Amino acid sequence: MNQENNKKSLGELISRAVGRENLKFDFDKWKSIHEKEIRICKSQMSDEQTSRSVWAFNIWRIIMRSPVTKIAAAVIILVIIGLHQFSNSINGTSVVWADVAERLEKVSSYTAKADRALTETGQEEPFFECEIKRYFSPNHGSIEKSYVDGELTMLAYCSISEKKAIVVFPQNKMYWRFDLNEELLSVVKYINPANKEGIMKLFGSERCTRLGSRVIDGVRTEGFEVKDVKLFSQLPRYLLHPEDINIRVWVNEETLLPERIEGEGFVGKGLLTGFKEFRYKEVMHSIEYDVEIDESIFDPNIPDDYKLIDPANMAEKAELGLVSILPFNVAMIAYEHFKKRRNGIDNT
Amino acid sequence: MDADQRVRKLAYRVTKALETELLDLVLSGDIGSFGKLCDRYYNSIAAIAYSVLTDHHLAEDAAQETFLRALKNLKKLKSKEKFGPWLAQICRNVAKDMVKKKLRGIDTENVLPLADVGNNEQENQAVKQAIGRLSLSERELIVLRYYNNMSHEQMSSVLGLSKGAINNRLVRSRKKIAKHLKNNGFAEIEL
Repeated sequence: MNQENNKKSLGELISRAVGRENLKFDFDKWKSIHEKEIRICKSQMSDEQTSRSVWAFNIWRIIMRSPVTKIAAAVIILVIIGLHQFSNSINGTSVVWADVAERLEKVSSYTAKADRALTETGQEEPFFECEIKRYFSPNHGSIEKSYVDGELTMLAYCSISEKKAIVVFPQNKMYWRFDLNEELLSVVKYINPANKEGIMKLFGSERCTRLGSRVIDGVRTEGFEVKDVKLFSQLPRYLLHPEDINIRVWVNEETLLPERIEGEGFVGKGLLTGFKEFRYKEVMHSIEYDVEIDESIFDPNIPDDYKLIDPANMAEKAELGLVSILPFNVAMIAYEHFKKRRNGIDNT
Repeated sequence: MDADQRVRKLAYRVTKALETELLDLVLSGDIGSFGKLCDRYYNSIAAIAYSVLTDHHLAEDAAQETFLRALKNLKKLKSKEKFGPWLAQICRNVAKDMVKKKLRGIDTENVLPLADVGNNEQENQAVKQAIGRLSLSERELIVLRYYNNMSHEQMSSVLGLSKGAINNRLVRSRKKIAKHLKNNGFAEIEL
């Protein structure tokens, strides 16, 4: 018997002697047996702690539950940041981008559509596709509507003035409401990929290449591309590991505003992807600037029979998905940007 | 380190981060989160108790008592990253207390009067004897490993030892068991 076989057989002998089937802890039974002690412990603990950690953990455990929806929503940041951060870091090396930045200074609102697809490595067909409609007004807030197979699956409202957010899941007849407090904002800032290497800095840099002209929906555009964009640099790699991100912006030659924004790349193994690898692609199109948006659209108007989700039980609500929060992150990033711009204009 | 190892390492870090968040939740009064921690550690804590008590039913009782003591004293936990080892130490104390009270006449110095009876009972008894001759820490390690095929990561989490240290000690302990078995007529077990 060689040593490997010996080890194996010894292991089998020991397992047979002391091994057991996997044990399952009956928490409910344990709780009922020790009801009094547990009640005392609970009351003592509740008095001493804030809900901060509850929030943080909810994020984590929901991320764990819905990796696909979460990464899908996370990817949105790629594109929308590209829209709203244009004027932030233009370094003047490109006349066109300086013009684009100047034009964007005057934009107050927009609506847009986007198509998002995720395809597992080695596969040809996407395993996740959705269509998105976005509305943004600095006075009222933002809305993102997500559709899968034509069915509205999620509405994410963000009221900037009230600093409140609501995520509605029509198919589940559920909604989630929460304040955009400092804790959330810290999460927003943490996730904000534009902290150090903003897309606009890239588009104003030597890394930006021209793609030439292209007619999109009858509009003549000039294309620009930056490859291997380092996004989510603040995010731990075990959470999200994007690589080879390429972003293309097609600018309307007449209006000097982005007509179409495309983001694509590879996402390596990470928590948000369920430790799977896949490619994503998102195309933001049909962008309309300075449109009048009906105020009523920003009213969630939640039907009476919709149930408010208890954040403490969120993990038990299956696949509702935390990343629905991320559009709010995006909105807040945009809001901060607009606010900064307005302040800058006011100061000049 | 290959890709799978890296992923496992990342998963382990994430697991520890989640555990810390669970502890925060418990400390904020969410007892349900304590249930999740109990689920996570039930097998390993029962295994540690078993290495002292040598009785599966008593080991489960000890594990449940361990959780209650842990909950009562959770605020005293200094480092959330060391929750597993902290829990293990409580379990050792609980198990030793049970021995002191001579519950059901348990004698931990003698080896394991288990209920697993079958064709291999003679072998089982010999192996149990061999395990019983190990030091308590070695016995704990062996039981943890083979109680329900626990991974080195899980063992590391509850013992607070590196995987290298665990591996070295396991090798040493297995050699001792093999030697004992060989000395007792199990010729096929070679060192």
